[in-house]
Amino acid sequence: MALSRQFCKSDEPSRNPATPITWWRPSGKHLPDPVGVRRQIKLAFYVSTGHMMRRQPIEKTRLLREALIAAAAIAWLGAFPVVYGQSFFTLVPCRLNVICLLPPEIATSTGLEQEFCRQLGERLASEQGPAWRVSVAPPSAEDRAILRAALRRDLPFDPPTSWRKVALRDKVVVLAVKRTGLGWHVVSRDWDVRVERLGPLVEHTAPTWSGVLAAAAETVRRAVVPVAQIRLVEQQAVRLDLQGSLLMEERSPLPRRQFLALARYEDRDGNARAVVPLPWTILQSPEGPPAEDGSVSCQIISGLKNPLSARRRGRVQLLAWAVTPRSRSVVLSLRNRQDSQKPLVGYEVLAQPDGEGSPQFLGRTDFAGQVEIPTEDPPGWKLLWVKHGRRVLAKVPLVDGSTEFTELALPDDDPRLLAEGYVMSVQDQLVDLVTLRSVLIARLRARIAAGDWEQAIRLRDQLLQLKSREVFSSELTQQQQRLFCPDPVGQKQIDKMFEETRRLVNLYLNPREVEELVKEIAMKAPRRTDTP
Amino acid sequence: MDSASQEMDRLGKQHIDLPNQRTADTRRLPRCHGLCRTACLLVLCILGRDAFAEAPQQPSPLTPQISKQLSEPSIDTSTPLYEQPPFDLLYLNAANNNAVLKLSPVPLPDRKVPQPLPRSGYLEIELFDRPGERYRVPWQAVVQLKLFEQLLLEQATKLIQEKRFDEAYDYLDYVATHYPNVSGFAEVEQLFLIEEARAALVQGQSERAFADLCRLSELNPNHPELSSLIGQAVDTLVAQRWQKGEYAAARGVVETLSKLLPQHPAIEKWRQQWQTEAAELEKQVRQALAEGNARQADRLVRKLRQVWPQQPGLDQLIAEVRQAYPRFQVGITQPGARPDPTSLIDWGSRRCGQLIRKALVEYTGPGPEGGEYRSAFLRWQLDAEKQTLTLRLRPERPRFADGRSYTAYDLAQQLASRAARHHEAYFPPWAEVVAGIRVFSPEEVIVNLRFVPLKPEALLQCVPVPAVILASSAGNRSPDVGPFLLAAEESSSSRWVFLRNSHAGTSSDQTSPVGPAEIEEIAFPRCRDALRALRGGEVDIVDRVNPWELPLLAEARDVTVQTYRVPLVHLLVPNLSKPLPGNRDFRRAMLYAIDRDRILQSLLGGKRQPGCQVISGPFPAGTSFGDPLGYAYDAQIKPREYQPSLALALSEIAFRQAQEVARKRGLPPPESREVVLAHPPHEIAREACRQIQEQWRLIGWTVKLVEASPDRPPPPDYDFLYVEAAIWEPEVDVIRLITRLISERQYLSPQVELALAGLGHSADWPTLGQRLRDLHRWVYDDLTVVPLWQLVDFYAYRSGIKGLEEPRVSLYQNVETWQFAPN
Repeated sequence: MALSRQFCKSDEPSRNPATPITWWRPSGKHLPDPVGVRRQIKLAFYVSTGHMMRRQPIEKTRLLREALIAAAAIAWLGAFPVVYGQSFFTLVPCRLNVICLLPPEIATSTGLEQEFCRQLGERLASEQGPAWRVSVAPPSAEDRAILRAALRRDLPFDPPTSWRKVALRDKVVVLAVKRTGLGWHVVSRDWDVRVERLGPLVEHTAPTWSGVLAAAAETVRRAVVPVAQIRLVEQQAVRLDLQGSLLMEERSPLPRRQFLALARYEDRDGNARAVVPLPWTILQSPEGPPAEDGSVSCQIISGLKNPLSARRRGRVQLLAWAVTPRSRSVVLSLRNRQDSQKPLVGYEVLAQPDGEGSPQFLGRTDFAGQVEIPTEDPPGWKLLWVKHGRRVLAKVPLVDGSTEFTELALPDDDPRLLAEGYVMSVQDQLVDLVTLRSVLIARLRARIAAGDWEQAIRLRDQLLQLKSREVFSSELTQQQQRLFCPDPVGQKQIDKMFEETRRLVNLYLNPREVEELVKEIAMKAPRRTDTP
Repeated sequence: MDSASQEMDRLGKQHIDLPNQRTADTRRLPRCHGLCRTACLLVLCILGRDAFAEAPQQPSPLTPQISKQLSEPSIDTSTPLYEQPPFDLLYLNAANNNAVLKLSPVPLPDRKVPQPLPRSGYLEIELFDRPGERYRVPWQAVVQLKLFEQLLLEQATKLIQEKRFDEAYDYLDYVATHYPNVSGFAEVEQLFLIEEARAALVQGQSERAFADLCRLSELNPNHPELSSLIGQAVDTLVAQRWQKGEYAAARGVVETLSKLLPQHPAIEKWRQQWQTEAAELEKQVRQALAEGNARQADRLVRKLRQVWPQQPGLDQLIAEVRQAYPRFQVGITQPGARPDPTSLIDWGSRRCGQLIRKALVEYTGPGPEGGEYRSAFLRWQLDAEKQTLTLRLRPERPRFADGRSYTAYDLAQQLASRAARHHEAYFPPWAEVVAGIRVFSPEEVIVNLRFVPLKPEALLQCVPVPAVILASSAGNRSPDVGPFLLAAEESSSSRWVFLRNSHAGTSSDQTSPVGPAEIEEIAFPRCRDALRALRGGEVDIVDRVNPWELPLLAEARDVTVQTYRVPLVHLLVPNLSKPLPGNRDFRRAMLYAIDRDRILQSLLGGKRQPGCQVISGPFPAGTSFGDPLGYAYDAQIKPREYQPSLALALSEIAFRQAQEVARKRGLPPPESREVVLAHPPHEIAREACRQIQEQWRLIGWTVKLVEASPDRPPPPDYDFLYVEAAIWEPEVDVIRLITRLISERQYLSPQVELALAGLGHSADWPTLGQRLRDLHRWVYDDLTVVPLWQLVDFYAYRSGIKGLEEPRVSLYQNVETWQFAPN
């Protein structure tokens, strides 16, 4: 059955009901969504997810009960003529814990602080509707210790264990309000529990206290980074099920965005063992509203061949996390794949903004294998080309200002480059030789035609002194034996270059023409009588 | 008209029509054009010979009827006579209607008309307008025969009277060259000289008048007007030169006059005047010495030497003044616009940089392993085990012009800025080596190294700059910290005065003599002028002598010529960002088109000089076998030979390739075969580039020469830049050269880049040598720079200066120890 096969595709059939279930229409064809069906789906998931959030710790009886509910829901939905290829994730509201750090003069007054938190919660809930489930609270004693690090870009951040429990919340948003000379400064940042990453720092100012609430709500709204589950549709295209996208009141158009693809490895309790970003891979979504099923179609841009379809062991979720481009340069380091301590020096790095147009030269890696990647204006993403000589070693995407990936391991291409240089030098010599040979042959023919035998013999001697095809081929063979490249691809290219050069030598240094001229001179030229 | 005339007419028409018969194809092919012309000439010769064979053997008698028909000769007055085909004029008597006939030159013995004219016999003539039509004219009918040379002299005389001297000179020059024995030439020439001199005196051109009169005195010393006119000319000329301070030139005028007209009163007059002036100057010199104003005394005594070098006791006086105020005047041809003692490509900046901005570490010459260095600021110690470089500042180090001392904090910040990627002083080889820098004490800085370089001191070549200036990133405000200071108020656009820096560090050797109190650099437009000034005593030293002008000093006994210790490498640096020079085939073509051996020989004045040779790479080849300076040069790689035919073909291929590349890059494709060659404003570079221009022209490329001072960026549209590079520490200097001149690194060959990257990590000298030779090979293949030749340079100084005897890398290397030898 198609359904079971799709389940198996996520590495291992999940017994954990927290693992999102992907629903597929047997025929695989998407049809328009009638409003009634959509409402029913929403209703079913309110029931299931509400239950799921309340369970902790997970017990076997509960697991069984949830499995039964899920089976019932499947059966109920199966009664309808249309079944949609969507996940529950689009129907799961985002559980948002906002930790609100107010200035001391307000924080000391319990009433004021509580009131501010309540009002902010209400405001956010009314603005976002069912898509968000918001709770706003002042920081606990445990939280206070790490808030400073969370609100700084330059400090390492290690959240408490409770911030990593996906069963408790989806996101923690840290909000701080400070008094400044010009009014109130509101700063906010998002910690996503699923991808275990801090979002960008969002700042806002309000001239008066009365405007702080609106500014705080706006800051929180902007700080929250969308998260989605990845559904593989084609080789180079995926659909992203954005969390709670079907719970939004209206489907507003989304800007063109880049998402980082991550693999979340979970333990039996659904907590993350590790969250690993897929290296040098971004998902690019187009501008426009999400589809009827709440998903967004994305193009996969990656330096890897099949970044998403690789087999992964254990419970794994593929998630997408929106990346915000920033106006700051990034230093890219190139390392030797075989010897990570060895930098790759002198490699060219070129960039194609938005992956379009001709690549522009950015620089060459320095003695440390580093090159600075400047940002575009406005910041976006670019496809980086790493070239060495004529060989393109890698094409990887990079979101401006993102420091997620700054090190690229590549095969050591230096031996191949030296071979390329040698072959180019031989080809130059060949061009010179063929040109000179042609000039001499033309002049020799003219002398023969004019009967100027003295000059003709002199030119013939010059022609015969030129490097022959045999000498060229012998030198090529000797040099080829000396050159060895540990990288098999590089070695293959070296062999190809030598073969091509050998072909050119054979093609252009044909001795027949010279031999014919030599014969002609020998036959026609008057013999010297004075020679013994 | 007889049959011969008709035949000649026919041939004449045929001759005229022949060019019109050329087909379009022959016009397109220049070689065929030449062949056609040769063929046509051949045909003409054969036909012409036959035609002349048919001409009547005996000339016809000239009847009055015929003479009447020919009596109006046509003479072209718009073209100078000497540019017209020669002809003679024959004047006939009244019986022949006073006809004037234009003749082809009459074949008279020695081209002399018999005087008086013969009364019998005939004159055979050939009419100019009717070649081949020959007649016999009875001498009785001839009134006058004017030869072509006489006509020229007549025209010259007419032009002299009209004061059109330039045109008259051309006539006289032609007559002197082609008819040296014509009678009456000497008179016309004298007339010309006296009239032109008179006119020149009226116009204030006394130099021209003097030259004319000198020539006249050679021709006719007893000319009645000569004495008075030459007296006027000498007086004016000497006064003018005296006023300009050209004392030697003024004396030269009087000396010339004394040789031509020894009794002329102007000679004694001027000598008397100068002796008086010299006596007055001597008095002033002694007075200045007595007052302790040695600087003023020096200036006066130099003037005295120029005014009247024969002044009794002058040598003694000069020695006395020099003892009190040692001042050196240096003749230069390349001013240092931006003093920098570490400059790679700017001779002038490197020279005067040593005077006012001493480098932290100075290169003093090649040693057995790399260069040898010294420092007036610090001592260095390398600990290979701990991988640290300890830099201890010397207590007696020079101070800045404002009296400020260079501290360990300054040094640390300077070293750190050279390792900072975004700083303008960033130096990649240094950044690669440095792991950390710390100030250990106010006098000591310790540098932690990532690896131990072979020559750490080579990486420390920079000018000391206070930390406060580094922090404000005002890079151009490098403060002066050298043995001398530029006296800006006393300097001009052609003279620069440097006074001894009182803040300069005291020498550790207290017994060493005190060096120069002042150095004055005087710029000359040509090296020849500087050498003349050296011989005349106007300057004491000439910093760079053109090799082809060395013979000018061969006979000067009081001048010594020395070679600099290390040669310069002359290169063409291509502008790799442009399609044409960015094309490897094009660079190779242009190198094949340069006959480097020939140009080098020309620069050396046709003589061989040790250390001067054509090179195949960017490194010096050394000046002799086993010279350690040549350790980077791969002698196995022979320079490419001069191959103009190959160059022509390759350049055509490259031109088409470049057009395609330009289209692909969206640049305007090169339309014409023209390249811009920029070169420094110096005679050696100028002459070399002129010859390169000629040789590139032979393969069909027009070269535009542009002078560009090396202290400024080259013009944006240049194709090749001629540089004279001081690659004395190849490991470091080649990186500096490429960083400085090839800013757009994407066009640099990746093989060259790879070879450059490997240099710093060399564990020992043999490894480094091998890597540099590999780099040589890559540069040779790619022609990243087009190698030309290495050239040894020379300096010259007046004998009697101590401290300049030893060969040096730069003129002011030991300037603190210079002194005049006592007489």
